Amino acid sequence: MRKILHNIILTIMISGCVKETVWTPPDSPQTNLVVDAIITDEVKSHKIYLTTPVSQLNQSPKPYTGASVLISNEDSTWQLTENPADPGCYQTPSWFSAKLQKNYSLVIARNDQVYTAKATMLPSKPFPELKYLKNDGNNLYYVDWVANAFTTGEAAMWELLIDWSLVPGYEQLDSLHNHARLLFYTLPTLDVSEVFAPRMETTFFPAGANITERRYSLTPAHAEFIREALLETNWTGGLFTVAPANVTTNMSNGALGFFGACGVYELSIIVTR
Amino acid sequence: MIFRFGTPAETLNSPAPDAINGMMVISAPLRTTLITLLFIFFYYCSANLYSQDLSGNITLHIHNKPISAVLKQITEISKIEFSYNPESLPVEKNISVEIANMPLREALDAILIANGIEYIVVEKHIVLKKKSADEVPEMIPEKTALHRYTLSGFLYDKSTGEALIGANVYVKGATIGAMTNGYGFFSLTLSSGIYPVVFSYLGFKSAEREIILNEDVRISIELEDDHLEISEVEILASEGESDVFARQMSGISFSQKTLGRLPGFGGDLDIIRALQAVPGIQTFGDGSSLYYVRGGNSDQNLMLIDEVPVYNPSHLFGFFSAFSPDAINSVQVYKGDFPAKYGGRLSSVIDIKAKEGNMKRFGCSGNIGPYASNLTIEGPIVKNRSSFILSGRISTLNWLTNLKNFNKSFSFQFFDVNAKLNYSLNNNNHIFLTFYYGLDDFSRYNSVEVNSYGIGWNNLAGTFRWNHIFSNRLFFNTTFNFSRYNYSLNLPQEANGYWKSSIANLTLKTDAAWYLNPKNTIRSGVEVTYHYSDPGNVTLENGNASPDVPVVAEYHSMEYVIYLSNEQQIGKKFSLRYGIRLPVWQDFGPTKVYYFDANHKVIDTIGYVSGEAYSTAFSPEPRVNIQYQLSNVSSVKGSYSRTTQFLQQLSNSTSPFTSLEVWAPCGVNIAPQTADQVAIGYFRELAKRKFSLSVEGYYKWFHNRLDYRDHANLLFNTLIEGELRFGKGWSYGVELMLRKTSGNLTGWIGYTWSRAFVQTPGVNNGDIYPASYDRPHDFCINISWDDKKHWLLTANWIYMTGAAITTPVGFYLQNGYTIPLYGAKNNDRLPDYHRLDLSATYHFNKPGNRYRHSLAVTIYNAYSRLNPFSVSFNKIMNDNGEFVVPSNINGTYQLVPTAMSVAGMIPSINYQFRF
Amino acid sequence: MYRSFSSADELKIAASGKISEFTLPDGTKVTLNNGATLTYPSKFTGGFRKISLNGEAWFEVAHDRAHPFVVNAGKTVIQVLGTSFSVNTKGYRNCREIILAAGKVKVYRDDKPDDPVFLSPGEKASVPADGQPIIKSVNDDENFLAWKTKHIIFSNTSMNEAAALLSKVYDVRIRFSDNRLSGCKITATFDKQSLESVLNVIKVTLDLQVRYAGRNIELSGAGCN
Repeated sequence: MRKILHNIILTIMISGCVKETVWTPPDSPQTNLVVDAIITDEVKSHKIYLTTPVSQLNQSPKPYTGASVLISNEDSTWQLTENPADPGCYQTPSWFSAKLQKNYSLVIARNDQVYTAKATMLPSKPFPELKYLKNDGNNLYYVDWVANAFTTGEAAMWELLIDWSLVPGYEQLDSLHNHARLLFYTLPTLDVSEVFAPRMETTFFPAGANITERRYSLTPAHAEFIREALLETNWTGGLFTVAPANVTTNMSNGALGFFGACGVYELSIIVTR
Repeated sequence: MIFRFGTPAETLNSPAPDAINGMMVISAPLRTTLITLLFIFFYYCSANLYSQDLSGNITLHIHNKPISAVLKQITEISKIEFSYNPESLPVEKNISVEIANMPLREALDAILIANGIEYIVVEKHIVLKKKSADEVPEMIPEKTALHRYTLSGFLYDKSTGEALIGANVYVKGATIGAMTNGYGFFSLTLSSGIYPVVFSYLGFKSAEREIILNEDVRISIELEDDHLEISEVEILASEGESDVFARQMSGISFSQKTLGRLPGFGGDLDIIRALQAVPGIQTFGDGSSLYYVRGGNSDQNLMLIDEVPVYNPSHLFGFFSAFSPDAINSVQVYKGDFPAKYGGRLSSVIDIKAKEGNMKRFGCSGNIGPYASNLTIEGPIVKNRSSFILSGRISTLNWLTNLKNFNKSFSFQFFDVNAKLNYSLNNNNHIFLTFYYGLDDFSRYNSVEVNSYGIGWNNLAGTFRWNHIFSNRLFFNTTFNFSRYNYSLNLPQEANGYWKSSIANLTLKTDAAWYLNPKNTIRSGVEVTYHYSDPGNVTLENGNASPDVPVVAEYHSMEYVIYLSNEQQIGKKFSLRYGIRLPVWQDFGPTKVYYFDANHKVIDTIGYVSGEAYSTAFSPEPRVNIQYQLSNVSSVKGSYSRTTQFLQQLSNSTSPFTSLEVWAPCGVNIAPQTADQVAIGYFRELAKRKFSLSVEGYYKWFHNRLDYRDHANLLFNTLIEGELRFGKGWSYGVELMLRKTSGNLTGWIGYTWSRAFVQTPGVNNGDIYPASYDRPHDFCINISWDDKKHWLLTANWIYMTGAAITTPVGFYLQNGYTIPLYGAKNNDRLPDYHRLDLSATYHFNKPGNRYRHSLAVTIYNAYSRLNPFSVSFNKIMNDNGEFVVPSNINGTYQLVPTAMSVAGMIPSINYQFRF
Repeated sequence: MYRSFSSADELKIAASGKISEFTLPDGTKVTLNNGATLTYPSKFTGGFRKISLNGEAWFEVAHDRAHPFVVNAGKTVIQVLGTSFSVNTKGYRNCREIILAAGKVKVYRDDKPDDPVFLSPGEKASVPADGQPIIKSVNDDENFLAWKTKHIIFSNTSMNEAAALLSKVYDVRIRFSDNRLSGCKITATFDKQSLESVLNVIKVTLDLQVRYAGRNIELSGAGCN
């Protein structure tokens, strides 16, 4: 009886019934290149990750090693070097930073395959601090608001790096369990699936955690890429779904992913009671 | 039940007396005896008074006797009296006659015409006249020349006065007949004579009247409910009915009676769910009011209620119809072979006529249930001339909303109200007034963000209709209606902001039916409509928000339609319906139009002022239907129709729920979509008309078919037309249906095999892909058992191939996200859909009681199969065992493929009453 | 029909405005045409059953051999033995006309009881008002009872006659606007139909127009040739 009542409640609540399903993927995809490249206006060594697609869910992607990667603008060209300890990760020199009003080109070459992309950068700006609330159930804190999801102005990506490894009682945990990286977005578009996105997990952190909040400026092309990526990831599987399709890219020659240039603004806070 | 009426002194200038009845509440055996006696008595009477039945047979063996003697002998045999001027006719001429068992009519033709004598039936006499040479003699009074006269009138339900739509009127023993139109009106023009005419309608006792037609006759026939009777008598009498004879193919019609036997939900009749059980019509799945007909998308279906188009015919995301089922009189579904009167959508028309209100006495009915309750009040304002009906429904879900689950709560409410008034000015004029308003509101609270999302929609419609009958053969219906549908979404991040889309129309139209003669019925009409559409604009009321909110341009259009068609009977076996519909569409300002280049980038923007026309489209739509009667139980039909859709819904949603609705008319960037459909079908009645079988095959071509670029941004986009792509589509299939409509056990079995394909440049690399609603197998069984006393049990089982979906061929990582990689579009299928619905209704007292009530238990999805509507690869299981999207992008997590379904088993128990 | 008491034990019945049926104390059925009156004793005593008639009536006499039924129509006496017959005191040229359908009747003037005429079925006795002898003839008028039965047979009948009969049967006045019409002939049989119905048939048969003005009906037309 409880099960039936439970069923009724669940169904009428129109959250839908979600259950695990069995899915067998078809033959492996064509080997391709996936580019995860964002350069910012910060002066540091920027990392670009090149991988290949996988055929199984949860499979670790193979790195795309041994490629020659160049970033250039009207003025100069920078060669990126692959980190031997982290194959597939290509780094810029540590004095590199992206500048406004410049057109940046990314060129990736390996064997006789060449992939290119272009990006420009919009400036970032200061922003109000995020808001967090305490959950009485477990005495931990969670993020309540970072930024409005919809804007009629410029798009932005918000990255929260939460570190509670220095909070007493959590020092012994390994780095994965006392750090968290959260991403939020402000976009100039509205999508049905966004409004009725499926429930997202809540990340909890204790008092004393250090939160670094970074705002990345997004060009319209970058915002569109992110919008489509979200349609295929965070926003799918809710009440309102749209026809799935491949996410756009600004890479040429069949490569996937995106090369973007973002202005970054950062602030840090400590979570207090 | 056959009754014969009339006394020889009856004159036909006064309206005929009301039809049969009298056999009401009498016990069965006594009733049978009485009926038999009455039958014998009447037969005897009629045998003596009335055997001027020109359809009888006679045998004559006469050798060389004067015609007058022959006439005398005919009088003796058949009791027909002749009247003539003996000086003007060669009655003393000797003739010989050898006739064996020939129909009397033919005998008279043989004897008289050969001798220069014409005859005409007057007052049950056969008046003989000299055959006129060439012209009609002036002295013949206009009324009694050898003319045709019209029998016309209305058929009503005896207990309520509601018009019987689609009822049959036919001459017994002949294949001459007519059907009542959407207002219960029929018209039959025959040469003067005496005819036994049968009036019948499923679920009612047939009536037979002997009509003496020597001038136009207008009658009003009331048929009695047959809830006491076993309907075998109907079968024998119903030669005029059934699919075999119907001039329409690719369609199905439901009367109030048959609707009551269809699967409902929550104890209520549900139109969409009922339609799902018809071959050729597929709904999306559970909880959906979206339906697809013969490979057409869900916005290609037109639903009309009392001639007004309804845009979202559902409440609660498709679990409930938008109007109380108690208020429906008849439903006519067209999947193809569209009469010229209908247009504007490519795939189907569902024409619903609501009840007008009991003309005889006050009545009240209602349905109380756990999810929604409704109440209907109706009654006469002036008995038999004017009545009203008022019905309302409200959701009663609040008890559910109080249950919180996992920090989530919601509130849902809906209501609708329907008010109608009608007045009969005189025999030839009747006016109707309808008003409808329905509202849905759904708010959901999310644990992460305190503010709530909310969506709501409302439907407002009103119509004024005027029926006018000219000269018994010309029926006019003039309608003035308006309809407005709003859909809004609350944006919680912008305090008090909301997104709203809206579509409205204002129409003035006239439909005329000219019942020229039984071989020809001409229909014609004119329609002028003003269309308005707001594809969706955001209104912000928060001072902090950016002031330059982009404005998505609104649309204003005018549509002009004229149509003409004729239904023609050719010989005894062929009938043909041909016609043409000519719509013209024109778009006007005030608006802003964007012009795009081949790469879908804006190259120009032009603003148009109010009233300035900027885009005109004309699309003639020919329609043809041919029917050949193989025998009196079987027929073959074929049809071709072209349809145009000027107004389309922009939606790339794959969700069962009506997603936020955006409508746009054709214009500069959107060409009108058109479809051509050919269909061929075979219809047959089996086992003495207890069963009917129909097999129909179709092929459909779609031109300028609307499609979307990948991830089209349709919600709030000023350049929305740049997101659209156009291509072609085609679908084909075979539909089989075996139906039993009489007896205690009724129902049908339907099976459809069909395919639907799409090809759009710019989508799926221009390759052909199956439409998401391509569901090759669709099987349905619907059974209902009615013991006509207390119990009504129904069961309904539906099986459909799973919808076509796109599933990934791989994944890739980007900035911490696992993004699916796709190959061909719609490369995969969801699991097959099947569902069983059961319902049992117990009537506490028998029909015939003034207060009737019943308890209905319905179980939707009885074995609780979770039919998924989407599959996704973005969730993990959290510590509480729930599936959520991960928020920590740096964590290692195991993504789990999950499927979403809408509903498991949903039981309901409802109390229904009527008095 | 009304009943009045003319003397202590004599009753009178009259048909005014319509045809009336009545049953006498002995079981005899009488149908009185419009305007007829009949006088009879409240109880039949004596050897004869005597009644008096003025006007037109149809009798179906109850069989009683011992007590012959006697009708006094003015000075005419009709003696009956179980029979059906019609009496009209205002017949052609004011004759009393007696037509016998079944049985046997004896008709004689009351002052000449020894000079009777016996009628057989189908025969007619005409008693002239002026004392002339009673004329016996074969009844050739099929429509003699049409006023009661509404069964009218026209067989090669001229419109003059037809109009006269119809006038009598339906209590109307039918005239011709044109003398040409009166010579038209018609063959038709009508059974219990309304006047309008009958005229409709005749109208079509002979191409006439009918104009109604209350009880006056005018027929016009081109006539027949």
